[in-house]
Amino acid sequence: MPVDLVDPFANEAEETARPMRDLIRSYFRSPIGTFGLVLMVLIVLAAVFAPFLSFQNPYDLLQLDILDGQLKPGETSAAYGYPYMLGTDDQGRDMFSAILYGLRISLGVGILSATTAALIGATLGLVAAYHGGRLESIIMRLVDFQLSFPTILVALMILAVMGKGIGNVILALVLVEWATFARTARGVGLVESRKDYIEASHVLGVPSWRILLRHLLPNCIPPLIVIATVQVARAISLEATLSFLGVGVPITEPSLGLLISNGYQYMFSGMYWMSVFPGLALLVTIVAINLVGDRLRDVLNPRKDT
Amino acid sequence: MFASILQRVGQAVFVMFCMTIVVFIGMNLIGNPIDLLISPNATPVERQRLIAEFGLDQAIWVQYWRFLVGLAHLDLGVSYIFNEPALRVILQRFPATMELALMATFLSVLIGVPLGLYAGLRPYSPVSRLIMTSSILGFSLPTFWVGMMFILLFSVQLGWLPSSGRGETVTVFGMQWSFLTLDGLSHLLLPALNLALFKASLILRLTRAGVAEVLPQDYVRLAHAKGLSARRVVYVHVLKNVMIPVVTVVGLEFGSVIAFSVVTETIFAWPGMGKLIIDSINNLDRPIIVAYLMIIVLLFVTINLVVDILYTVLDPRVQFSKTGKR
Amino acid sequence: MAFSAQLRPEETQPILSVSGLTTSFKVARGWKPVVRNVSFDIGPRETLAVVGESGSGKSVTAMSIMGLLNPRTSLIEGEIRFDGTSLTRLSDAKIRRVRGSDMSMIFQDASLNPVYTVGFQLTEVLRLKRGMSRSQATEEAVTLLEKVRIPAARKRLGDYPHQLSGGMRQRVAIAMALACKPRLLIADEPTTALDVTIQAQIIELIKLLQDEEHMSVMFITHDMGVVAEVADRTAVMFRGDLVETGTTQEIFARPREAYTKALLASIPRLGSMNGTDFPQPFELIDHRTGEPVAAAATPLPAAPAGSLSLLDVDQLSLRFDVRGGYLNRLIGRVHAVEDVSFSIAPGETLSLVGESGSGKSTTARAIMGLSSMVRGDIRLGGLVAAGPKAAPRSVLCRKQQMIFQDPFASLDPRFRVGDLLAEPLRLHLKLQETEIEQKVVALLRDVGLRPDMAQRFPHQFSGGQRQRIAIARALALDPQLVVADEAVSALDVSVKAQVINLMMEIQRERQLSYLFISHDMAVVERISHRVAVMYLGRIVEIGPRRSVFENPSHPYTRQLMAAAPVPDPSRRQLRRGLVADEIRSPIRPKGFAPALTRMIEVAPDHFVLDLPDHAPEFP
Repeated sequence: MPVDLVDPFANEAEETARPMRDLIRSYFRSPIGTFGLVLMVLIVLAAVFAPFLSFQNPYDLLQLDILDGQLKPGETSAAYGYPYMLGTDDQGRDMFSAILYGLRISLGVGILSATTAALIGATLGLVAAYHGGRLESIIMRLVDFQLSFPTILVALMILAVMGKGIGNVILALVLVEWATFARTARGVGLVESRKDYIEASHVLGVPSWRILLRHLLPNCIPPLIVIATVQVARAISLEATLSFLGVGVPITEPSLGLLISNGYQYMFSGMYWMSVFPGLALLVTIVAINLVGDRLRDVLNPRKDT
Repeated sequence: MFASILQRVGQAVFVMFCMTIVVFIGMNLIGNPIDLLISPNATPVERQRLIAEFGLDQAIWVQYWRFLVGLAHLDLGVSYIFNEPALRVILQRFPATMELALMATFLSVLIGVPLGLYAGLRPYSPVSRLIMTSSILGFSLPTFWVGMMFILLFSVQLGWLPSSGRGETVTVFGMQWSFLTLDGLSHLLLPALNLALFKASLILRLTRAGVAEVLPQDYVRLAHAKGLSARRVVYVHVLKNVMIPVVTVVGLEFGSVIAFSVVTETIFAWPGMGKLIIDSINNLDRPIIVAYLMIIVLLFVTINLVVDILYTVLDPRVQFSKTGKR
Repeated sequence: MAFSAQLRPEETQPILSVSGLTTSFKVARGWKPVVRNVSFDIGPRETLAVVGESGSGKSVTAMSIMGLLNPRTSLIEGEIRFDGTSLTRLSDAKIRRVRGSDMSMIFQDASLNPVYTVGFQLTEVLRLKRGMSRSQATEEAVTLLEKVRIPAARKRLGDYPHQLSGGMRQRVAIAMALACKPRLLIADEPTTALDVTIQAQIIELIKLLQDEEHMSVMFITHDMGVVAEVADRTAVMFRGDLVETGTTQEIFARPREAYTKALLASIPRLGSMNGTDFPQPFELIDHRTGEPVAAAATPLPAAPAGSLSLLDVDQLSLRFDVRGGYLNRLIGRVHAVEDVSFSIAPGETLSLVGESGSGKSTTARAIMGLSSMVRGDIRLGGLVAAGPKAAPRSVLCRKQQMIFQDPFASLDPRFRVGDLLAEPLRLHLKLQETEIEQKVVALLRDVGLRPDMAQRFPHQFSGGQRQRIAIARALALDPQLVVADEAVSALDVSVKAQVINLMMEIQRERQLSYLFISHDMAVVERISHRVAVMYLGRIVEIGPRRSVFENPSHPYTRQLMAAAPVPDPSRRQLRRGLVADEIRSPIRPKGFAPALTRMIEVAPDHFVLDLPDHAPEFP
């Protein structure tokens, strides 16, 4: 069929063919974002390989020596003969090892709770956006109700009822975080599902489940990734706060927050290291994750500056 | 308009009612109140008498009904620890928390709005980049950790500001206030700043995002095209559009400020509701927890209502009846 | 120093003189020019139209003149003289004094600040630029609103912009621009966002005010019809270059440059089809060579007369609830579609034409099963197409398909074009992978794209190419009916003509039927066998295209035809008279009982609605 091709603007369309590679490239254009990512990867690696990086298991009481208690950073162990880089706590526990193990718990709790909340929240949010009607209003009422109470209060109450424990902390965090995901997912889902390509798929006889999974979901993922990143950081921070207040993780599985809390009583008697170093580790972790989240937000939702 | 407000008040009452159920069920799950209330040495007869006295032998819905009746009479039970009506114990500490929360909100607006405005208007300047990166730091730092560092730095190392308590207070309207005396103000500053930091970052980013959204709008171009001065364009045409969401968020976040005062009050030994609730949770002082929750819920529902009304007053585009959900 | 305070110079000296203007935008590496070496003059009381398609740089030129571009991200070179004074060398503060007083500007739409009242925004200029007191300014604001023919002007001062219609908002913006009695008004696509009858009113108003206020006008538009109606002289821009300038008569009668010729060849001209019965493709011209494009397709054969119809729509009604007030009660209904009946024969194009709120798109969506209908019957070749007894989607989708308006939104950005085309084939036809590949290649060829483009993503295509992909996707299952909902409205003029030609060729090859939804009378004239005019949910006139266009019988059809801008400079003196009519709302109170439809046959097969109430107030 003879068809002319005089489209004066045909050449102006972009020539890049790999959206993914472009995204990665534009992510690394920011030095701060790159710095955050490198830091985050290092922290995760440190947590994963904690047993190989630390020279003692801080919770194996046989490896502790009470004579090494309350040593300053850099002081040498009486029992082992090597220096404690970050000092020791009152029971002679090496702070560096304790921080690495604490990092495992903090990161684990943060990631596990954020991903669970993301799965539950995003599913409910997308279903609400796609389905509409009564189901949507029930879900969204629940979300509004949940969001009108601040996270810390809800978590505090849940833990007050259920008691300490890693499982309970994760449950509390999931319960306070799912609503954020649900609201974001519904918002994005609504915008996307109103776009013509969803209706075009309907018209072409594409089944609903396929539209939801293959067309709607992939287009809603980017903002959800950003929220998920930020929520991991918030979960870690919240867990630390709860543990600091004494309602979070139990003493047998100390996260960074609990280490800070334990060191708090010694802080004003000059033994700053028991509290300050875990605090710095916590801080660096959260900042690194937030830097990554902030950069992802810029890359995934490009605002066109004119 | 009036009918809509009435409708909104109705919704608020409904939320309150739902919360009484949640709180009641939740509280019944905390431990076994019988073990807590009755000495283990009590004889079985004494035990039965006490159980009947507390009404714990009644069906759960009867207990709930009693709870509601008590609530209607503003009777939320007597604190196990203080041996005083729980509501009175809470209300004694209410002004201290309000003072802290209001001061923190004021500080967060004072810090957040100007910096956000600057970063939004000059997105490419190095100062703006610095502001934005610092804001990431601002909402990354856990409140309790910042509080500790404040004490370590300003109280222990430098000795500039006191680290605990309310200091000297003045009694106005039968309540004690710190911010009216110099000593009280010096006690208030650190905790308020601590509590404000997170919200300040939030407001800063919100303001900047608002400016970035409003600046490319046609009505801003039109304002320039009308030949108005750059100052007038920014302070009259841009600012009001930016401030509408900011005011709303500041209002809604006020509840969250009160909630997070739990942390700050614990660290700075600020004698408010937050410190009380943490102590009560540790002591399993049920009436206090219930009273605290009911007051907080009332506070939140009121805040949401006020913000809703405020929003419709500020933004002419929003009709009151249509703001069913945000 | 205000310019208006000076003595007027010689009448012949240009008000605005632009020479060698080059505007560049900051990109990743260096500066990218978007307007190159543009020179033109505007004389006193003269109207210059700057016309071009998207990306031509016409708006950037205007913004450069007004100094509205951000100096951080844009660079202006060359000379801009306003009344003899160079604007490029003025400080920011001095330019602001010129802006809004000697030279003002109006934009496309929504340019009023949403959070201030009309009165505040109007008096603001008067107080700050003309030093009036508050009460003086209020009085003057009323005068200005009356000048732009806003009814009940004093009451409107307290209104917020969202309480006004688009046309009224544009009138307020014009009043604001006139506040300081400017000598040059720059109008940047001021009517593009408006319905055609409202557009006609605004153009009329600008022409009248120009006479009253003795100002010059720089009118920026993409619409050659509007150019012909307003401009003394015309400047044609293309990709940042000024291609050609001349008097409007010259440009239309004897275009010199290839691009201008190509542009003029692709404009549908209302009335050019008088005396013919069948649709006719455009005779296009290559914008590079100026030569006619080979193989301009021959006219399409007639739809087989008297054959069985393919689509039957019978008494379709559709309403949406309007809720509000206490407890979200039902307070009324939008009668979006009211008792609409028509049919389409195989190989025939029926156009539904009307303005916003007429119900034309809702009708199309109901036929495709995208809006649930309230009453009526839609049948497609023996199948029930919509409603509770509709045939399953998997059957219907092989018979009827749809093309959407926005080519940027109708393709899933995460799918390669090849996968987008293969998806319906895989789902509905039991084919081998190789057969699917062959079909994808054939589809791409059919719509004038290269087979290797199957590997690309939608964002790598221009708007016109994307609409071709959307057409290919609609054709994948070989349907008998294609519903095109404003399918060419978002495209540039020259691309629009090509896509229309393509649709006609496909129709001839495949004996397709089209339901063509459009607001553009001139496009409809080109493409249709039959036409149905919709107004406030009802069909007010339906019949063969020739009969309806040569003998429009309903007052609304006549109004629509009169309002359509005609690209013929000789009609410029034609004045339509000034009305400030609004398009009426289709919202009716709860329990409203619509009148029964009565149609009168005015010519063979040509029917007109006989309901005196159902017509515009000022026909």
